Amino acid sequence: MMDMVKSLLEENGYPTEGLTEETNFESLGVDSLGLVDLTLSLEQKGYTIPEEKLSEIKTVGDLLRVLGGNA
Amino acid sequence: MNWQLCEKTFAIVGSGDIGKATARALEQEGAKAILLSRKSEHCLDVTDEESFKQYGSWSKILDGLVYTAGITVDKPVGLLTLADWQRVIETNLTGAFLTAKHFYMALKPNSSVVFLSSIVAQWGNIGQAAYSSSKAGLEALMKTLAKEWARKGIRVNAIAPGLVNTKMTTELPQMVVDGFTQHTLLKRLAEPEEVANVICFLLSPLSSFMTGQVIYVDGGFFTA
Repeated sequence: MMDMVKSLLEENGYPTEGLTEETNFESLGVDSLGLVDLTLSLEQKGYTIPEEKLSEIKTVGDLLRVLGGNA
Repeated sequence: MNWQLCEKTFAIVGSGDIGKATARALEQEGAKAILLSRKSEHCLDVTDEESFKQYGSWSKILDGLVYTAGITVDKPVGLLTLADWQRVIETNLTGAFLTAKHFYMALKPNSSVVFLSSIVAQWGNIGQAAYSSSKAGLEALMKTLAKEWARKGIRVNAIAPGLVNTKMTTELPQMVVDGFTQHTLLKRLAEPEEVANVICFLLSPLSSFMTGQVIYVDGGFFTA
């Protein structure tokens, strides 16, 4: 799942060097609109992120946990 | 002039006279034009969100998107029913919103989106409360999208023609057509191809520093 998030970030033009679960999206330059773009990319891959969960996603680990709940 | 459109792919929503003229102009430039409408091979009903889902897997394949779908119900406000109002808003404005929402992921970075507005968005017009309001809303939608999508280099603009020689115009009372023509510096209607040419310019990299704009293709209507 971490690889998928990494490739998702790369596809959307964000840096992924040294990416860990603790990496904060803000530090990668992902703002609220960027996060929406990431969730739309995820939707195309078959994952749904409920809108109310979006504000809870601050780190890569947060996203992985939400995605884990999807699986 | 080289429009730099060759081998690019564009989706055109709405297969009215302006949509078809745009598709022809793009194809003449060597581009691929995908017409989407209820009557096209690529079927799309802009009033039905379900209809968009068949295109949900399109990812970064479009160099541009044009929204030309539109209808009008022309009556003075006193005679306009809620159903009339809703029908026009649903196609002209809500359909544009759904198109933007569902085709966003299909757009490549640095692509271009063009909405077909009208001079009545700013001018208003007797008997066109629903149509002019829908087009004014469309221009606000365009400006919002220009702001939201600039981060990906996606440009979003609108063109606002005056009266164009289309099927929709032939349904207007002659008196209305004559009134518009008299008020237009060039004293005639636009041909669909003249509108399509400006759409092609906005789709082309030749307009690469233009976004959030409404371009008037009005024969001098607003200057008169």
